[in-house]
Amino acid sequence: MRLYRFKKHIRFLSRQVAPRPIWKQEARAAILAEIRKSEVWRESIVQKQAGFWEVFRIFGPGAHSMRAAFIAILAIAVVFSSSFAAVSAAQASLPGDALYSFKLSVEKAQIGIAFSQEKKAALEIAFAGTRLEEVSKLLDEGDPRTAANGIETAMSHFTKSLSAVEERLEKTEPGVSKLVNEKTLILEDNLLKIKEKIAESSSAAVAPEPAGPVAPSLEAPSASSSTPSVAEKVKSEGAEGNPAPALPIASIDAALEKVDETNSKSLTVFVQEAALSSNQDIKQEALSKLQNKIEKIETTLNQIASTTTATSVIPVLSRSSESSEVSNILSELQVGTASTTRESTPEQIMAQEQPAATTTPAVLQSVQSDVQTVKERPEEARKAINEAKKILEGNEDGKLQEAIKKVNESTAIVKEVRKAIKNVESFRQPGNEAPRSDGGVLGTSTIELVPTQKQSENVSL
Amino acid sequence: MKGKMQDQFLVAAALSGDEEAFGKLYDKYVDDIFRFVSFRVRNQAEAEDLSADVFLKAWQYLTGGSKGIENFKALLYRIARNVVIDHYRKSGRELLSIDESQWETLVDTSLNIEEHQQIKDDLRLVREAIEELLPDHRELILMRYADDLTIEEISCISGKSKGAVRVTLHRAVKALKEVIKKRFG
Repeated sequence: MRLYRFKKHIRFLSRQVAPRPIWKQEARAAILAEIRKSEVWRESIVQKQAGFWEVFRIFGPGAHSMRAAFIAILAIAVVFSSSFAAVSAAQASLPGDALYSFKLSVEKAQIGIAFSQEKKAALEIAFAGTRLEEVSKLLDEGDPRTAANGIETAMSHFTKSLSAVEERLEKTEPGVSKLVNEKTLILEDNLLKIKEKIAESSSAAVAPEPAGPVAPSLEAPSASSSTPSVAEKVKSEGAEGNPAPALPIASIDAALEKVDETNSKSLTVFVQEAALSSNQDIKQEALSKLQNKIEKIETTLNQIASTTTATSVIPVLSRSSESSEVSNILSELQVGTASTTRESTPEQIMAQEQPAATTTPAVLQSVQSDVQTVKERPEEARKAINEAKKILEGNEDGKLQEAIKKVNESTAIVKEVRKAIKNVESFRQPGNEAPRSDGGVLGTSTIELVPTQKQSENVSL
Repeated sequence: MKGKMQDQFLVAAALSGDEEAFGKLYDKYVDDIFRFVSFRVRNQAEAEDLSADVFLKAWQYLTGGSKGIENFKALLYRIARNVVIDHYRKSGRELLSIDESQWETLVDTSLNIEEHQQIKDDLRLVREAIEELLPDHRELILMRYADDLTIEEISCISGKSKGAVRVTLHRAVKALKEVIKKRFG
């Protein structure tokens, strides 16, 4: 044997030595379990996301080049990577800032290097929360109308994050559904607070109409003498052909709808996992989450029911069976709305003069169909909810899966009803951009045919 | 992204709360570390216990302080080497004192009988040659040729300069050549 043969042999022989696969798996699980017990893991980035870059300290003197390489991989302008301050500045940036897209790229990379679906989902939810913080900061900085573009950008990224979370739910990795279910409830609360904040800021900037169902239009001089400058400013912008942007309520509503959808989906996955689990605690938790959801749907249904008060157009329309009657009511309502606007734009005047032209047979049919939905479908949702409750009261196997089906059924109906209400509401707005005086909260007031800009109720399940 | 850079990202991700990233590092190096330890201890059970210990100690090291880590692979081998030394110190035996039956238990049992026997024979010859080397030379030869480590990695693991490693390895190879010449002609 010569040296080269010896080397060849020893290399070959060493490759014949391999650990038992079962040991590899067991040792891996044991090591990861130990890691999860460690303090560093518990105080991880998900809980303390601001400290992401802190981890690069571990690389000691090479940390700077490490970060630089990381940023290069992100395909971000090299100029940013040379300064740690740039990274910090990006983290503090808001929609519309130069560094904002850099901030989003860094977040994307963070999600990219997370290996478990649970961690990825947790990061995506954390970043959705960051979007809400950004909106809140934008609102603190100024009027919601001037911040409208920024808010819409943030909300668009918020919705994208939740779509990504929904995709992770489909991969059914343990832990994801529970995490998503709990975190989306927090996101929903925060979104509602933001919506309230927007309503407050806008009512502070433009004083509301003292009485009556119609909120002041932006083009109209304010009834309050305390804020003439705002009204004048808005009016002059309109005269120059640059109307003030609409309140970003529509994007908040879309985000609320998305968060509701993600929450429902996570609940479905969680309940399905619990139904297959032998762990009684998980089953109990699923039961409790289902009951909470049922309570929420019932509250929403009660709020929808309150729309049948006399001030709402829906009961009026629903009492009219003939198309001609509906057409007349709608035409009258359109004229009525326009006449309450003190100063109208040429387009609005045209709309007033030709109300019949907008009420085409197709529109009539659509409105009638929506009114029918609002009138009849809630009862079906209530029936499904009652069935779900009945199923949960029983002790039979498979009740969780049966109940979630009924809950999802009622959720879908409620969504349809809300959409129909929104459609009827928007029918009568000929380009008016004024917010609803109540901030658009369905249930706390009736659904009025107030001119709205694609507003919807903010009740979420 | 490969090698050291990938390891550093995995370490960063693990320290950011993603234990699965550490799992990836484990998947990447567990075979190598097991092999390294196996060539230096008495039996499979000991090799398994010590290999698992290496990864736990690596995690503790990463989370334990602010010392810089330039090469995670070298860190693992350094820990593995220390774990084996501690093991021998506790048991009072000579480091790298290898017996035939121990080596034979390491050979992959999924091979057919003929292949298995051939490997065992070759292994015996290799073992006999290595046994004649000084412990320092034995360790270097194993690290360089069995574990396939570079001079730089051996330098990191042993704490010696690259030049010192190169010189010692040269002497070890020279000694091995003499042993081979003496035993196999």
